[in-house]
This record gives sequence, C-alpha cells and structure tokens, in this order.
Amino acid sequence: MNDVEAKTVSRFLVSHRAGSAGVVMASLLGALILFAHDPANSSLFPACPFRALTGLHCPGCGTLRALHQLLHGNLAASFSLNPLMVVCLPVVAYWLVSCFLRAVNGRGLPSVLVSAIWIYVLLGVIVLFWVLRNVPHYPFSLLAQ
Amino acid sequence: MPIKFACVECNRLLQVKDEFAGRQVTCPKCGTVMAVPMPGTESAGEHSFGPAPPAGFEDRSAYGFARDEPAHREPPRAASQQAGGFAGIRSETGGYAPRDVPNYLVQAILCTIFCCQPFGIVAIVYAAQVNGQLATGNYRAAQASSNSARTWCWAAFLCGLALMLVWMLAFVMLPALSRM
Repeated sequence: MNDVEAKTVSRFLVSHRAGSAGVVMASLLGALILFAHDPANSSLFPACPFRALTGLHCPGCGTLRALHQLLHGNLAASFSLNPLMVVCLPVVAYWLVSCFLRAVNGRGLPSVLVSAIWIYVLLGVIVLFWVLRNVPHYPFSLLAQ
Repeated sequence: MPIKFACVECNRLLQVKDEFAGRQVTCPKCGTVMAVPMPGTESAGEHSFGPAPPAGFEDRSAYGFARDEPAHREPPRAASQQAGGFAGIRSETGGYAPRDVPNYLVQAILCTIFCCQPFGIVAIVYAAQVNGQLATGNYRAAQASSNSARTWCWAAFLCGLALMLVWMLAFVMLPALSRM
C-alpha cells in the first residue's frame, strides 16, 4: 500500500463560499424586513405552527419579535420576549461573521472547541426553558410573553 | 511540500497543497467528506511516511489537545505502543488537528429555534458528540458524528420550511375557501 501514488485532490475541495454568502445575504434581508415590520402587529409573519396546533409555547416563540426589538435597540424588551435567543445571539453572531469572512476570502474564523458538557448543558437549558415557559404560574409566565 | 493523507474511509492516499489545510475535501474514490489535516501531521490510515513517528506526536501536541486532555490521551497511546508501535493510534486519529471537524452547533441551535425542535435537538446531541470525540482524539468517530449533525440540520431545516409553507398556504387558502 505504501508505494501507491498520492492523488492530488485540489479539485475535490468542498467550497463553502457560495453557501456562506447565501447565509449572510439571507440574514441581512431578514434583518431588513424585521427592522421595518414588527411581527407583533404584522400579518407578514406566520404564527408558530407548534403554538397554533398545541396552544403551548415552543423554545423559539417570540424570537422574531425579540429580534425586531433588538434591531431597534430595546435590549430589555427583547430579553423579555425570548431570553434564550438573546443568550444564544453571541454564538450566532460569531458564526455569521465567520460566514461573511468565508464568503469574502474563503476562510472563516477559527472554530472554538468547547467541552461537550457545555453543549449538553445548553441542550438542558433549551428543554428546561421549553417546559418552564409553559407553566401557567407567576414567575414562569414571565418567560412566555 | 504538499500535505499527504489517507482517506478516513477507504485509505486512498490523497494530497493537496499546504494552503488547503483545515478545508473540507471529498475523496474522489469513495465520496467521503473529510477535513485536510494540518501540515506536519502527514499521517493517516495504514500509510507511514514523512518524519519519524515520535516527531508526529510532538507535532500533534502543538495543537493543544495533549495539553487539554492528558488523562484521556494516556491510555490509547500506551495501548497502541503495545499493539505494535504508532500505526494504531495514527489510523485512529488520522492526523487531524482538533478544530478541523465542524460540529454544526450554530446551525443546530437555529434549527431548534426556527424550524423543527425534535430534529434540531438530535442535531445538538450530535454536535456535542463531535466535541466529545475530538477531545478524546477519536477523529474518525467525530467525522461521522459531524456528518450526522449536518444531515439532521438539513432535515430540520427542510422540515421546518415545508411546515411553514403548508402553514402559510393554509393561512391564505382557508379564508378564501370560507368566503366561497
């Protein structure tokens, strides 16, 4: 096996430039639409299917309204609509910057290797948030507005 | 000096220029997508070339995972030495640097929030597995988990998209039908 000629595979490199450019464009377009229209009183945005079918809040409910508030600088209003989204936002922002750089010069930001434990913690937080915001009593009802 | 490495799946010997280290590449023989190892870790599969094996170990510690996970790394190293030198651990790790394998965590989170919660949660679990396997140096398994995470992200995204389209269609159609 050792004397096999190595095959040059430059042609087979997977390029993520087009996909990254698409992600950045779609995000900008989405941000523009969200800035102009408040999902709280606009029929432009569909209601959450999970909420419409079950009457319960999903962990993503309120994300669009929260993003609208955030784009207008209202961090507190944004946090009250969906705290999970605001907490996850720095991670998503890092990814978007990486996508932008990859679209521009073919190489994104270095990925950060966090311990697997923290990803399971995040998963637990998401599930816990999903359950707690559906408890119809005082401190928990703050999570679902 | 090009980077030479073996396909993690079919062991075909591949090479690319140094500047493509860390990029994803498709094996022309079996179609497996994998990360190009960093230069200086020119070893994978059963092939042995480049510097002497101990030098390879020094190179890998430069990427920090010997420092991060000393407890996890000691047993496999000892086992591979007993089992006939460095070939065992080399074929297991494939000479990857720890940051080469994407875990699609952000995409999984976005899918969980925007698209389809059950599939998104599966993708998050696979993302956690990627990081766990990278920490213990099991790069072949990390690559497999990475591919699964990507598949579940796409499944969640397309599922959410389809649901949303049906939903919007229902929004438009039902009032129209009720007027008739």
